[in-house]
Amino acid sequence: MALLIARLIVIVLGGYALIGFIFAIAFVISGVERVDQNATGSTRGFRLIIIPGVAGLWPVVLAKWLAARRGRHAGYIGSATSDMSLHLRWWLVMTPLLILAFIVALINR
Amino acid sequence: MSVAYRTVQWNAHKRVYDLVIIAGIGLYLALFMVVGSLVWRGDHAISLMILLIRAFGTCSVVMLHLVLCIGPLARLEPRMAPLLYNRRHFGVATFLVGLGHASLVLLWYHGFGVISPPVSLLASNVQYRSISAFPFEMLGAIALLILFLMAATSHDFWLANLSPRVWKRLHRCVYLAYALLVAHVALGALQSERALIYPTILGAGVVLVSGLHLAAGLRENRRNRQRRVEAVSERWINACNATDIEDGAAVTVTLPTGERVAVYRNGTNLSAISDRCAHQGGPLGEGRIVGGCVTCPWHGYQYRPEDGQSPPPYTEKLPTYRATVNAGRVMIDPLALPPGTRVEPARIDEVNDE
Repeated sequence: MALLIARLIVIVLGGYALIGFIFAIAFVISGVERVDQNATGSTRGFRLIIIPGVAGLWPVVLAKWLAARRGRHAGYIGSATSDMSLHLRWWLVMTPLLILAFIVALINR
Repeated sequence: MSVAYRTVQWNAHKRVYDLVIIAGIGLYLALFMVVGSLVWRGDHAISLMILLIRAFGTCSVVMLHLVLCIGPLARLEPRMAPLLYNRRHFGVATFLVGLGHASLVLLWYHGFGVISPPVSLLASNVQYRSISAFPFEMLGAIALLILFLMAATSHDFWLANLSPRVWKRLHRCVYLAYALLVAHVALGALQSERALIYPTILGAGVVLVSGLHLAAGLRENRRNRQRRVEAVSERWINACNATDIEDGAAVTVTLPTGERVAVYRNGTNLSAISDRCAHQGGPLGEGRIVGGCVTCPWHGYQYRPEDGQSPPPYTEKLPTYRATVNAGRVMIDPLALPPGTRVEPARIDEVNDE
């Protein structure tokens, strides 16, 4: 049963990656300039370097390509308020969890 | 900043930074191999391949700790900000070293059977209810997948196209990757290595990373409270004394809404813009005016103080705020204007009885 599930997971992930890779090749050749005008005249190295990301996030990139939002630039990152307080909350939760997991792992050695 | 993408926007600082990273990795691996072969010998001797697996594994753990320390260190001590400048390359290098570790593990422990290595990895141990025999490899694999997504989306193309907000959230997943990596080591290597030195080192790392992040977060919260300013009328917020602002620098204030605003002085002109850089949210109020533009202390993104726009050909924009000077006090209209809106600067010698 474990082997069957493992095979299924590998097939699904492998299929996703294969589709992503093929899509990424097509995207860097003919799609990237339609999605982002800053890619016009970009270097070959830039196109190569974005292939892993396009392959990994191909559904997102496909949606952007279909929408073909021209001239999309960095929008404003958002309100200048919550970044550090969110960050603090995250670490206030994570620190005791990390220490607890660490202790449990040591006790069960 | 935007405009025709290149593979890497190299400069002297980045070259030195990358050379230090590569030299550091090489030195660590070499030292680990030498020291490891001296420590694990006789009855505890291990093969060269396992030594190499451990060298890459520990190197990536050390690197992730260092990467995670850079952010809070830069917040606590501005002199550390140059480390932040090229942190993305450090992160990508961390992923590559982790990938080296994972590839060697797959090859050595799962590469010689009748089933494929990934299937073998997933199926060889399914004791998810056990702590001492937990399939810790899966934790490492998920952490590596997160680091891959971060490394693969580290180019500014992704920042622009995923949107800065989504990009930042995606890259904040490094904290989750860190937690998974700590669990990977605690449930893996620490279960077999009995010497006290290993949990001590990992524990010290956890305390260091968590402590720095908590200290930076608490300090930021305290500063936000200290900078909080109150409304003096329905429209205006009393920000600070006009003369408190050093020429070419800013005073940062926190509005009652919680928004942070950087009030910059450029000669006798005063302009208020959002404190948060459009690139990666850097604290603009801690930057300087260089060449007439507000310059982010993190990556050098620039904005004109009067309209919050990056100078052409760049296109980044920030929200701006109306400002005036009344009896020597700087007053800010707390209503943020749309990014890139031009506001006539207040003058430091201006007297306004409004």
